[in-house]
Amino acid sequence: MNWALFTLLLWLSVGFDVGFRDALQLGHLAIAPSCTFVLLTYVCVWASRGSMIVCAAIAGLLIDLTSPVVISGGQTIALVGPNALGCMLGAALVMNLRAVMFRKNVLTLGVLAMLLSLVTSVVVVALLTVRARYDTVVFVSPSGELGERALSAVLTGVLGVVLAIPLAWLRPAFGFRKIAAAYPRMRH
Amino acid sequence: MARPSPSPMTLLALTVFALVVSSLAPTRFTSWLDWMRGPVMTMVAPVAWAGSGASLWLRPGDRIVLEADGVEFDSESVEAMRRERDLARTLILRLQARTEELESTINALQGGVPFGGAVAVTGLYAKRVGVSLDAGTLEVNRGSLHGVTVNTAATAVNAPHQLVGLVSAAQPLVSSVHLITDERIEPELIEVVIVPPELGERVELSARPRAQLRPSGDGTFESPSVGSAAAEALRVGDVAHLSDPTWPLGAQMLVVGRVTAIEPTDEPLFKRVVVRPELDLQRLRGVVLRLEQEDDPVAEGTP
Repeated sequence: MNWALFTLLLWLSVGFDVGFRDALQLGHLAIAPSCTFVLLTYVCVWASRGSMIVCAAIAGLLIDLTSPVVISGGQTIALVGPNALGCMLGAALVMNLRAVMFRKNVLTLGVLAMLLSLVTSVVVVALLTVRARYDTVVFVSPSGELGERALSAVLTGVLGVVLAIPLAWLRPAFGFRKIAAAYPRMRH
Repeated sequence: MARPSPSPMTLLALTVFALVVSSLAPTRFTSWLDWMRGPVMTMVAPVAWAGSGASLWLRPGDRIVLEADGVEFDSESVEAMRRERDLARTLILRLQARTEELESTINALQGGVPFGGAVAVTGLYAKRVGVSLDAGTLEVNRGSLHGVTVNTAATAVNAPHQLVGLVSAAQPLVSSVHLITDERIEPELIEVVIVPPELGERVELSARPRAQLRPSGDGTFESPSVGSAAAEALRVGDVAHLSDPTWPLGAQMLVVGRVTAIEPTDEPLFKRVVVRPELDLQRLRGVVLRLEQEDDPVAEGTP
């Protein structure tokens, strides 16, 4: 896998999420698609297991560091861990699902991006809900937060469909190794 | 003999364990990890800044137009005149508040209470780098190396009288401004004094209605329990100025928003007042950070 290209695209996508994401926001709610999840899903669809997990951990860590949480006292801090864990779990899900998907279909990236984003959201909300019980993290409404993140996941899926074609053009540059078929070849 | 390197599964298990610990450990043990945010945001800032410009071009922030103003914002000159007028009014109200404070200080000194100094305020322009939708913050390109500290007040760059929020995190080169419209802002209740929009005779601030506003989550504030007698003195279009001792001195008398609705409630003795900022605070091109210097009791900087 071409790590330099991944690093470049990750830098662009995280910057896109920080700077441009609110242009796609729905109303005043925190509902907007994430470019980083789409890129991560794309890598998870084509990369080897080892590369995929490392990419998920790095991407999740960057999301953690660029998405602060509010703590009591009105301050905001970066919590390292929730998104990284969520992305790793989401990557494991994509790894299991990609064997039964048509990977070259543009809808595949959209569906998998939505699922990866959804799994990450569940993990993040669960961890923050637990932590808010004994810590200074301000986390008012887990159900409302999960609802917003679920809708963001749907929008991420839509963005995944849109970005599937330009990402497909980059596949040769990524230099993914051919992944062994998940099922034994059928003999007639 | 060389030690065998750990297997990938061992590394994965250790990574997951470390992430679980840092996710669940109390903030007092994990807050040191926050230093990593500064370098990451600094590296991401160029791309985010370009994306932010594109975002504002696609969805520029809207400005509320009230019939009470009697002015349509159809030209830049009218807009500039209005801005100057609002700025002047904020300055006048700040001076009036200061006068009233000094009068009460004189009374207090006669009773032996120590004198509290004023602050000088220096404006620092900071460009918007991005937005954190989850935390309700605006990321700007000035940080602790420029003198920004936590709890520094921020105003809109194109409307310097409009309060935007408080700095909630100051990294070396970037800062997060927590928007006042976010429900998690602290102090949770924002105390304001509501004055008419006209610049007329001296307004007795102590006689004007006060209200405690709470962000309602949709970009507005509401005060569900303004007494009916006080509400009688209010009308749509009145301006709510911050007058809250729990907020920084540099933010006092800045505009929180305008009254957009005065509605009856189930309780006949109270009315619900809705206030909306004059700008969409999330869609600003930049902010002015109001850096305070406490040692100068006389100087008074930008309003």
